[in-house]
Amino acid sequence: MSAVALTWLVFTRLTEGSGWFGFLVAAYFTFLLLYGLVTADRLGTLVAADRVVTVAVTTGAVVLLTPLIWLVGYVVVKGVAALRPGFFIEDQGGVQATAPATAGGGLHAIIGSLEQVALTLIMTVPLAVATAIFLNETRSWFRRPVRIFVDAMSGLPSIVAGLFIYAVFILPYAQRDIGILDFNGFMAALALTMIMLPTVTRTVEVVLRLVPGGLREASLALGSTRARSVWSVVLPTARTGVTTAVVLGIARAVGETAPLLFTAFGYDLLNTNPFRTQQESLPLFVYRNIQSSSEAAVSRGFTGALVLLTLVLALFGIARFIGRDRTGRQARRRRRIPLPPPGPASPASPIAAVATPPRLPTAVAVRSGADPPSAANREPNAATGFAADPTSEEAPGP
Amino acid sequence: MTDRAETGNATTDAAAGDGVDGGRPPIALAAAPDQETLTDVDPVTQAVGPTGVIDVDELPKPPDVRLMGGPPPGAAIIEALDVCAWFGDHLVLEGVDLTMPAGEVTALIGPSGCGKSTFLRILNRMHELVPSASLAGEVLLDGEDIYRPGIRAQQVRLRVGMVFQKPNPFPAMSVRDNVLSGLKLARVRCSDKDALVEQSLIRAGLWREVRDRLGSPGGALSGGQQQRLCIARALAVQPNVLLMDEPCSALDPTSTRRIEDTITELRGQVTVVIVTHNMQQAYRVSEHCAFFLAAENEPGQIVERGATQKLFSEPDDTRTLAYVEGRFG
Amino acid sequence: MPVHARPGDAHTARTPRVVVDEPTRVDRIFGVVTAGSGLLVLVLLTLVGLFLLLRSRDAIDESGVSFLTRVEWRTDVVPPEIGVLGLLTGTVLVAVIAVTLAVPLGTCAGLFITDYASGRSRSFLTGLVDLLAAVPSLLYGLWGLRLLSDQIAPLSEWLARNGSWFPPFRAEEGASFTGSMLIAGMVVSLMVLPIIASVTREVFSQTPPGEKEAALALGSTRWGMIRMVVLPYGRGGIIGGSMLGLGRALGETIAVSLLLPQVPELTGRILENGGATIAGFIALRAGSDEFTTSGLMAAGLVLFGITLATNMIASVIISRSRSGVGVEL
Repeated sequence: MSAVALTWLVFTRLTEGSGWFGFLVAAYFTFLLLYGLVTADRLGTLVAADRVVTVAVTTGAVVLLTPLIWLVGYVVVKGVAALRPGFFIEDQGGVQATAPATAGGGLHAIIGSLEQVALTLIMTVPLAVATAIFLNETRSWFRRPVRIFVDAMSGLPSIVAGLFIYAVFILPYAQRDIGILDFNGFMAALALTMIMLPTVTRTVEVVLRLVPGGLREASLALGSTRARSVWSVVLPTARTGVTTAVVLGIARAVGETAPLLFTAFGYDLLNTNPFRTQQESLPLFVYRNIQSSSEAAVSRGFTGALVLLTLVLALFGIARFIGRDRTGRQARRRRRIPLPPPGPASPASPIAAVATPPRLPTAVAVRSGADPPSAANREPNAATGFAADPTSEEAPGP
Repeated sequence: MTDRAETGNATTDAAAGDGVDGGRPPIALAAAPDQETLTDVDPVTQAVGPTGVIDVDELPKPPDVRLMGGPPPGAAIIEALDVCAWFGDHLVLEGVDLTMPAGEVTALIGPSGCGKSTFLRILNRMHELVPSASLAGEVLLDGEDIYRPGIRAQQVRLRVGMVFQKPNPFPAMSVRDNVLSGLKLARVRCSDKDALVEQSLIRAGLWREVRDRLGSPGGALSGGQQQRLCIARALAVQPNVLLMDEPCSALDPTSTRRIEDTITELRGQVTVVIVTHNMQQAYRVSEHCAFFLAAENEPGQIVERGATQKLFSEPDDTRTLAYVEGRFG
Repeated sequence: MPVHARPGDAHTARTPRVVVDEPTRVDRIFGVVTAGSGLLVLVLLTLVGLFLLLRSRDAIDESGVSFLTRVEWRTDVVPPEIGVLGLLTGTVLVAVIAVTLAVPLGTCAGLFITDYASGRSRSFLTGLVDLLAAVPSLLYGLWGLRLLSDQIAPLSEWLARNGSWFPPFRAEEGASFTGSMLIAGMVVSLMVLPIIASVTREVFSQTPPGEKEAALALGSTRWGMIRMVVLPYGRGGIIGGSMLGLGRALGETIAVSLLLPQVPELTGRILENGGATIAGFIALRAGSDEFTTSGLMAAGLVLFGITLATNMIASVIISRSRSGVGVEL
């Protein structure tokens, strides 16, 4: 407390004109310093160091929270202004850039986004799952190079992916106007596939790796071929994880703007055919309107941003929902059988946790594909609570 | 009156103790010939004792179910002839000769690291799954070498089932589906799935506990129950041989005892080969025993084999005596 | 028929036999399909490099080596002079700022989640990190442009006035402080933060609990334990995570295209308005004439090369480090 007061004094003088942000930063460091000194005085340097670090580390966590809230709040506030049902019905045909923000709508952008993402999904998911299976379930010597390349591909900047599609499919045929080889939604989907593929592949591979090896062994021991094992045992066990990976991939693809610049190019009118002519999509809509000099257009852009944000958050929520841990609920459904007093309880064997479906890794940092399974999720689910086997009726003993 | 009694046809009971059937076809997947129906009495009524309480041990087995495309019926004799095993260049087993008679329980005992589990895995062609593994020698299942070129490992594994040390039921499947998974994975058809599920679970000693929740996921059981589920799963395909790799090592005493009861009941129907560290368990359940030992930096070998009774009371080899008396292990 | 050897025979007398297990048709198809999709990735990547190279031929022919050394990008003169150096400096500067800000914060966040937070808040924070990563960069750019800029500009001004002893902080008289590389760097750091946080979290959670307990048992405080055990163990992961973040920051397109004026110049003054990054520059020039596009291709190729290299180094560092063995990227 005293630290804040002192800071106020000292730094309003020194940091004249640095804005409230600078003040915040300064106040923080002063607080840290004083806190450290005071604790050191009372409890010794060891504890002081410990306490100071605790505060510092906690700040790191708080920093995660603040910008997100700030950003979401900002977009909501600004976007709500021009939000109205018409936004979802009309497109920008015939609307001047200077027309009021409520003129026209974003239907073309929404439809465009949906179509492009759908196409991307169709292309990406089978490929990613197959590659992940290849990397994890086969024994080929080929795996090493493929893995290196998948990793490399995840570093592909999104704009370069767009450039590539442009270079290969659009540019050479630009003058010749051959149906599909032009700016259109399908091209955008191709570019998005190139970006989504490595990410989803890696996430799915991680999920597959989480499936305990004992299951594969058991399946083989029962007389199944490897392919059948993967299909009937590994994939169903990893089902929730794979679904989550896919949903998170969608969330990322929906928000990508850069690859669209060179491929779908953007459009003002509703174009429901992704294979022909340019198509608009949400990120492009927002991007161009934001940069406009007209306030109305900017406002429209914000509305689009709000829709986009809501979409991404919704997808994210769905992914978390799908991937939630469900094993805990099963424990409560066991019947109570009246029994003689049980003997020593069977240990809550960690084995019980082994056979639970692997908790999916909430694919972190979707953008880069850096997706480690969270160790916290991997903790054996103590909620299954099989402390005592209620059906044990004999006292154990030789 | 259960209708199931009438649909069951085949019998899996080879004459007790007599496992060698000269007319049994080789490792092709022939269907079992039809046999007469069995009981037509309500098994439940029969089991009700004087107090009106059903005693699970008294429940007679429900009639057996016919499988199509599965292993030929009955227990099989399995013999290892001069088996050696390598992991890379490292020799881990040498000169293992062992006959495991049909319908009988053979226990493999010995200190850890002697290659018992490796040997077990050679018996159902799981050893070759390890990339650097190799072997020598022959393994004869009813007289036929399972490693002969032209025979697929998958076919062998259908006839020689395995239960692992760590229970591994399939968590994405219900209890019922778990039991039936062996059939699904090996493409074996079945005339009456419900009867088969019930039969397998009874044999594994799990029926009473899960009969009301066949639909709950396989992972939602306790450790001992999971292991019994795995046994039921292995038994559902009606293998000729059942390999058990320390099945009770991670379980509580109650489950252990249940499983030992199961093994004892399997006598005559299935050849059981069990690896165990627990000498008392080996003594309790097995009729034959083989004692494995590996000296330092030496590959594992069988020091002594023979009837369990003899091995434990008057072993020929001093090392066996020392182990059995618990002086090392 | 193999010879039955007696114990004592030379171990080298045995040769392993060749075990053949022909895959079923299903397995073969399975193998082909999966290998095929793996191959596709390889092919795609090579194609990218190839085509970019092809398309950039025009620009390279025109400028030759000076493409790499020239700073400005001027298509208004004849012959057009384009160069990537200015873009490159901007890209690197912004990325470095972003990483400098994100690494301490991200590491602290990762540390907090593994060692300071309790169960429920742990999963909440993990979800939060994922959420941060899921928000499109477009929105970050938007927010940065309209909100953050105005808040940071006064700070920049203060720094320029009072910190001009530090070269990057110098600024000209009357310079504008919005649209600076500092602000761009700050926004990009928000995108890099979740990457570093999640990698460090994963790495720290792999610290062997035994070592942590040993430190605590010796009487150290939590920070002491972290300093002695967790951080050294996680060093590789931190570095690798930072490099991954660097790769991400280098490739960031949309946010920087909004936040910087995208005029290539060679300047180290991060507080002032000015600067351009390769990706942002390309984004703004979409749809230009053929020559410019060719130049953009070349620039894109350069960017691709750098990000590729960064990512690969990061992978190697993480997988080689002690903590990285179990980490999935």
